Amino acid sequence: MSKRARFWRSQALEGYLCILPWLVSFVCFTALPMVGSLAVSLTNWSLLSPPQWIGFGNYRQLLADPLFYTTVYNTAYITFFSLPLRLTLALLLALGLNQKLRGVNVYRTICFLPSQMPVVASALIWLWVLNPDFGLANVLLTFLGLPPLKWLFDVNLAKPSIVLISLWGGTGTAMIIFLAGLQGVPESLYEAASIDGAGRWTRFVAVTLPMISPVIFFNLIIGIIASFQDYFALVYVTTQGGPANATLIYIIYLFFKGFQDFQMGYASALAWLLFCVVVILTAVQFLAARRWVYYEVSEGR
Amino acid sequence: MQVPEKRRLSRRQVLSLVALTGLFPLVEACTTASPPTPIPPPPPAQSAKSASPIAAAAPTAASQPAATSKITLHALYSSNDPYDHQVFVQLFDLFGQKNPGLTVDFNDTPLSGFVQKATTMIVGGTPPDVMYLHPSFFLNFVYAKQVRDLTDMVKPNRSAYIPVQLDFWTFQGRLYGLPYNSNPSIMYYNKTIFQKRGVKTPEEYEKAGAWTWDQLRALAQQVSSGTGASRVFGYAADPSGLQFYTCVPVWDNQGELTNPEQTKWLLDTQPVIDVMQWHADMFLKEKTMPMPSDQQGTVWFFLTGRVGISTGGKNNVIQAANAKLDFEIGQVGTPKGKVGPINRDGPLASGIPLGGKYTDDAYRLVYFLGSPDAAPVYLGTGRGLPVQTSLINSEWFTKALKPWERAEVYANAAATVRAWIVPGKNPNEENRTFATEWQKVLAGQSSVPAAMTEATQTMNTQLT
Repeated sequence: MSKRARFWRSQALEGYLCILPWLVSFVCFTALPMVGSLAVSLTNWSLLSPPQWIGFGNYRQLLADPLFYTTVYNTAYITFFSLPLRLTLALLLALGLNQKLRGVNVYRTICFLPSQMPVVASALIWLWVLNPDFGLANVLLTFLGLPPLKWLFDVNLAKPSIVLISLWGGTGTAMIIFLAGLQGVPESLYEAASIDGAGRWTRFVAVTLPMISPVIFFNLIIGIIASFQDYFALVYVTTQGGPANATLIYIIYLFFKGFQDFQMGYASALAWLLFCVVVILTAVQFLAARRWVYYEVSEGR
Repeated sequence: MQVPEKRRLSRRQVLSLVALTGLFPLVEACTTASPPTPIPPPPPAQSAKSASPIAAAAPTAASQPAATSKITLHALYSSNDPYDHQVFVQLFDLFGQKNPGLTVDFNDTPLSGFVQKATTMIVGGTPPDVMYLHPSFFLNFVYAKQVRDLTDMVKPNRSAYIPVQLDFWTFQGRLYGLPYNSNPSIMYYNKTIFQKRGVKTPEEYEKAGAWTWDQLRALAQQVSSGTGASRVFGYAADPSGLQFYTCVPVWDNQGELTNPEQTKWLLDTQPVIDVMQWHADMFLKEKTMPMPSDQQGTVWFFLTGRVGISTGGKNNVIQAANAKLDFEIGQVGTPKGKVGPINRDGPLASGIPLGGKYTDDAYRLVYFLGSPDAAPVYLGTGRGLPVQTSLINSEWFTKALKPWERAEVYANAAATVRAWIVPGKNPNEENRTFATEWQKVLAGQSSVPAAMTEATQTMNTQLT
């Protein structure tokens, strides 16, 4: 064995040793349970009784389940309204907080703080804010001469209310990542653009957006993956999927099936379908990213 | 003198050691997990000779713990609140005092996560020795054959219990739980509101034998007033709770929620539709009942002073007593309809999961919780109604009553209880379906007959 090969092998070995604790826990607590849940999805299993093999029975049942489609619609609605709004708001905040302002660190902390609040606590606070009787939101509406709303208790307003709450808690983290991206844009590019006569808007479109496109892409990927899974606590605390299933999102339904109705096989089938959808959406985004994400170190784009 | 050369470890060796050290706890954690306990067959019927419940409840000599031996029973229960938690603590302490050698390890798990916790313990091979049973999940454990059939064990003590209290925990003729708490529906009313309006109170109608559902509706209209956040509602109840409320007016209206075999829901039959329409009109037309959005729970809302009459139970007394109320409370039984009054119950029981080690001692504990021995704590704290016949007029119970509580209301409520719990293997799913259809009615998305038809069709598929 050559000296170089021995060196590489020893380096690789050290690397593997370093990641071994993570690797072991990943295999034990993530990979194996995932494989296990795939097997469970092919069974009828109430947890307390032995599982019965039913092949693709759960998947067939799922396609005939009207509530499945309700949850897909609700989840898609919340994701596709919440995510763009959240990212836009986060980017605007980051742009604002990237200016050289007096006390900017205080503003940054204030904007970041809601995302650090436990979801259950923030959901409870919002439950009070949106209380139809004495909530702050309705006090404000009444003050403005508008009629009070039922918010989370109104079939038509429940989903928008969830979107509203998610904006409050979910913007901070994306904002911080955007801010880091903005601070990495070389000042020289702005100066060059200014010399070429570019105004603020042109500089933003021609310099800022391309330069932070990897960060936007990262936030988008993480946001979409999280959207399919992250609203559990918020919805569970505020509406439990109601009223009249208006906020029954996919992950809540999965929980109900698995841990309230003891239909672990069906819940596993739901989980695997969700996994497949998330993988497909992520793959599509990676393909689409070639057209709009700019990497300084990539092949010339 | 030659100084021995210090042996230095290479970077690779250090990393290997660190990685291996890190692995030890993980390997240990994986290997020391206790293997699943094999599920033993149910014990043979005990042949207690004594007719005395207490004597009969005593374990056989073979299983009697030696005076020096220490046995810890793992009890998985769920308390309602910190006060209720203390009641359990006192009960288990009292049990320990009366049974030297036995102690209870009390695992208090919130009801919202109770099924998950119990399931995990059972599936993991470490079931509790004794566990709490609630009507909302009792049948799940019975269908899965994970709670012990107590029919034979209870034979010597059976006569001690109020029969209907055992019926709740009986499935296909076999008993799977021993009750320790009864909580039939009663009604609370805000005396001050009635006095201010100059309206006769429900108690007066009850004493005159005229306390009916229609009278309740009329009173609700008379005491409702105001708008917005200051509106006072005449009546508060949650018709989406089949077992915890709706069954009562349905039975009083000569209706049934299921067929006698419990294989079909009858929610689309006229008596049930009439009852639901009655409520829908009060919610939507007369606005004498607060919508779910107006309240944070029926009893809590009543305690804010904005409700004339509210459903409730004995378990709300502590809540009411601890609240600093600026109004007087009155109590009355549930009204009657075409028949009745027929009441429901919010019973609680203890079960013995299969796979536990100390079956006899576990039985001793589950019997104790509803027995006269536990009465000083359980009834003495005003937590619930008795489940054993000898305790119906217990001094512990009557002494714990607040001045505004009426013993006769509880007595009548207990005497009219009918045992029923939501049937089938998926009670949660059925409850959710019914609640969803009812919410559609309240949201104006569906009519009562359409919602009941939809609920019946869906719930029939969930029943089996």
